[in-house]
Amino acid sequence: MARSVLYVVAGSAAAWVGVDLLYHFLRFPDSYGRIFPF
Amino acid sequence: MFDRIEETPGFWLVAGLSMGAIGAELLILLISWVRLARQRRASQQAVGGDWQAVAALKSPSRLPEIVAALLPVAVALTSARLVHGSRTLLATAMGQHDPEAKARLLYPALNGEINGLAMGLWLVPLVALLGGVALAFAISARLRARGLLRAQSLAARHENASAWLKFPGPRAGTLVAGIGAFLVLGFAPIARAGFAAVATTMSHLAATAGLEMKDKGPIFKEGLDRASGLLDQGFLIARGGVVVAAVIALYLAWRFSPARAQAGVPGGSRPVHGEGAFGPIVALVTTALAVAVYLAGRS
Repeated sequence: MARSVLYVVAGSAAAWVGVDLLYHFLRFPDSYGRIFPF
Repeated sequence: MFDRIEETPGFWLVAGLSMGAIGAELLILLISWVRLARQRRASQQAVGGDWQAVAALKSPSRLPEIVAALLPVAVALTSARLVHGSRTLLATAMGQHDPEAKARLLYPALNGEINGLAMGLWLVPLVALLGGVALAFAISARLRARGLLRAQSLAARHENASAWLKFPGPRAGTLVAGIGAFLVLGFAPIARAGFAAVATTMSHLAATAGLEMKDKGPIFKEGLDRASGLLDQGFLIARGGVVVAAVIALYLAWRFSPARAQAGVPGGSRPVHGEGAFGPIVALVTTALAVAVYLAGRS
């Protein structure tokens, strides 16, 4: 069970950051340059 | 249609990579499905006292699940790299002082950016969805094979193997639901908002056709503002979706835990050997990397 919780925490952290990166990637030109510099 | 292909940077690269990824994911899904079906038959024979089929099972490697998880990331990164190229060209165009040179660079860059995004937003979710299902089936096939082999080793020593035989590992359906919750509740809202934003930008760009240069700017800016608003809305929904998905995944992990089910079987479960540290290490590294990327983006 502890392993499952660890996997869910890892998956949630990855999904949280994935959604965040995708948002900034799509939000061009507003906040894109701050996260993905030219 | 052919104009769109020409205007989309790296169209054939992304299309080829996506088709290859879809083919590989389907192959992983098929192999895992065959393995799970073989395990079911072997398990039924073992219940009748014939352990030969279980003893003949092989514990699958982690390679299929690693490939299944990395393929959508590879398609997403390739697509993002090409869109980034168009945006770099866009930034170069905006830096030009000569209006003719600016126009010459601006429109291919804008078309490339919009078409590249639209293509990525179609293909990446498709590969990710298939990858999620393939990943779930591959993990289930590996863990259930290991559980059945554990049952067989207990039975060979005349110990009670019923708990491992009945609940050898997580069911593929439970894992599909857990991974699917993150994809559908977390990533789908932001991808949907991305589509709406691209469509809004496209329609405003089309509305500027034939207008004087001084009139184009305000219309296009209005399109960009609307697109940003749509993305902000989608982002809020996606953030909430990730939290809900985490709760769903935790519930599924508890409700359908093989270890919990085994504990309820008379005679109980007895571990034969250690579980290995690979999974927890990958989970810890993923969490640390996610936190580092999040903090780096905010610094």
